[in-house]
Amino acid sequence: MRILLAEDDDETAGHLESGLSELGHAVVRATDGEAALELGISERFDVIVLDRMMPKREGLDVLRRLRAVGVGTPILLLTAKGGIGDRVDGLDAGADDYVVKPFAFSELVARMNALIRRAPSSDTATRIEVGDIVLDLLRRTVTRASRPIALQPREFTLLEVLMRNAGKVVTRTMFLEQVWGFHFDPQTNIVESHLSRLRAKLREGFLDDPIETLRGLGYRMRSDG
Amino acid sequence: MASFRSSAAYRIAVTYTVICAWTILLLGAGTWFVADREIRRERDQDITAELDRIARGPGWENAKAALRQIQVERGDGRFGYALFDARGRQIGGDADLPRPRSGFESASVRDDKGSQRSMRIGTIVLADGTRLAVASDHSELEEVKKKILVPFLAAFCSLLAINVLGGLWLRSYLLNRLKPITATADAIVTGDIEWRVPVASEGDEFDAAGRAFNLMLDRIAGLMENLRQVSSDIAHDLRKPLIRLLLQTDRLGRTDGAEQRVLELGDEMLMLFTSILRIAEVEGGGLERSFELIELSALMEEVAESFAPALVDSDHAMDWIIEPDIDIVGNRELLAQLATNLLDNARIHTPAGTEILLRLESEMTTLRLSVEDNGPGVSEEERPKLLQRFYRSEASRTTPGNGLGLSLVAAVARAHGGSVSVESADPGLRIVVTLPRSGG
Repeated sequence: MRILLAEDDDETAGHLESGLSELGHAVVRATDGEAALELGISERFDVIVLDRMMPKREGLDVLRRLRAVGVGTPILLLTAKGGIGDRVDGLDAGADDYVVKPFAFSELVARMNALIRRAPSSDTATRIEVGDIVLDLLRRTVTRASRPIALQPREFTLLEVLMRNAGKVVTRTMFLEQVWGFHFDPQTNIVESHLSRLRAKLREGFLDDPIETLRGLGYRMRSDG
Repeated sequence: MASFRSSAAYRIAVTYTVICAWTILLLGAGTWFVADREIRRERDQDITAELDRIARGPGWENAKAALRQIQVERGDGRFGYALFDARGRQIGGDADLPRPRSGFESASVRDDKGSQRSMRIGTIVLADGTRLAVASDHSELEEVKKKILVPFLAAFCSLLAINVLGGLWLRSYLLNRLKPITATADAIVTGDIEWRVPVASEGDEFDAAGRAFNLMLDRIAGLMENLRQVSSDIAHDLRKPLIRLLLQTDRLGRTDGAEQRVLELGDEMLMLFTSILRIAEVEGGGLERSFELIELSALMEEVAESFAPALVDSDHAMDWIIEPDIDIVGNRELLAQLATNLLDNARIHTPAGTEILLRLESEMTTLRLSVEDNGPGVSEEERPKLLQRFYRSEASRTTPGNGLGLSLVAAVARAHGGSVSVESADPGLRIVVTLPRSGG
């Protein structure tokens, strides 16, 4: 996967570059906003990781210009500003996701993967199938091996997020944002509690658990079911 | 001249003077003209009456008869008489008049003593072409007019004098009243933030301005104090986790699990920063931009339902009583965080088996959101301190948390125009958030 990394801080960029390279990605680095804009327009990338505060041209400005000239590449905005208004600004300007600095490398990777996987067709699909689990978005029903499973609304949404990202890691903060709309981290483990109930329901009468816990990273739906 | 133009007091005084002067001038001129016309009209009527009187006498139709008539009847002495022949020569009468035209006119006439007198002259043409003129002393009219003009002129001059003095006084008054405000601003510029504008209790416009100024200064001082507090809190409260982090780092490679612990400590510090920044953001104001109409009942229902499984997992019992259809104008995420912090707080600081109750109800003008537990509670002295930043009760030293959760609750409540109170729920603790009801 080809990634444009626009980040002016050498240390942060170095960490990300080596980490992403280890995962087998090709990373092109831009050290300022002008360079990021040029590269973003002239070359093709699978994802652009854009820092908000950069010399020469601000990240948000680069973002707006890229979108204005029709660059549809998924863009992940990095920022040290976690303010309430800042997030809205970023998404309004056309960012696909938003990560507040400092962040865990695994969080960034999980979100990047989720962005790339987000094929337009899956957004409009009314049925998602992963392994023997079928999720019907219209009737809001779930079956495993044709056996209906009764889920609470939030458990259903949790499963939907997992299934849309099947085979990829979904982090705790991604759940909080996508299921609850919370951009903060409650000290109470509401994600874990809901997930454990969801898993118990999915497991009941079956031998295996379709959801894996990746310690310190998040959760993953096994794409083979 | 420059100071004149730049002085509001002078501008006010001059404007006021010009308006007053115009009023007096208009009034004076008006009175003058009306009086002039009225007096003249009266005099002309008298003259007409005299002319009639003479003309109605016997033989009025020719000059000789008229002359005789004049000599016979001298009238009451108020009038002078003159007769002119058709060629304009004076042929009789006691007054030395210039040859008048027919009708009325004013003229200046030399009297017997040789002094100029202003006369009003009425003339008629007799049947034989002679003209009969009756003149009446008109100089008293001038006297009257002078008498009218004098007070107006005096008023005008004294008005000018009063206004000049008034302008000077107004300037010094304004300067005097503004001086405390200017002095306060100067004192604050030079660093003395404690300085305030002295305000009199009776309270005129300047006192009102001074009070508003003082309120603003109080707010600024509050924010500065807040900032100072946060800085010193950060410096103080970050030392502990930092020292622990350093200790753990030192044990890396020598103790099992040290690596994990270092990461945890790092996360903890990050969360601390996030909480501090969040509180600072909420307290900084300007959040109203993000406010929208929120179905608070539905939001609280969602938070309660989301927390229920987790609370069951930690062996707490959770219940909620939520009045339906309560709306509020606010920030959805902050209100959600307010509720989660209250529930987090109740869960963390109470033992297993405690019942936690979230309640939302509306009152006349306010909303009441409360979270209560039947745990061990908090002593009366300690209760108000719970809302202080970084405050951790003795009993909770060993539980997780950074002492900022309830501070954020208080900040969010304040940002929505509400308040937080900490009560005893006998035996547990009840934290009540009161928010103003928006709309109706």
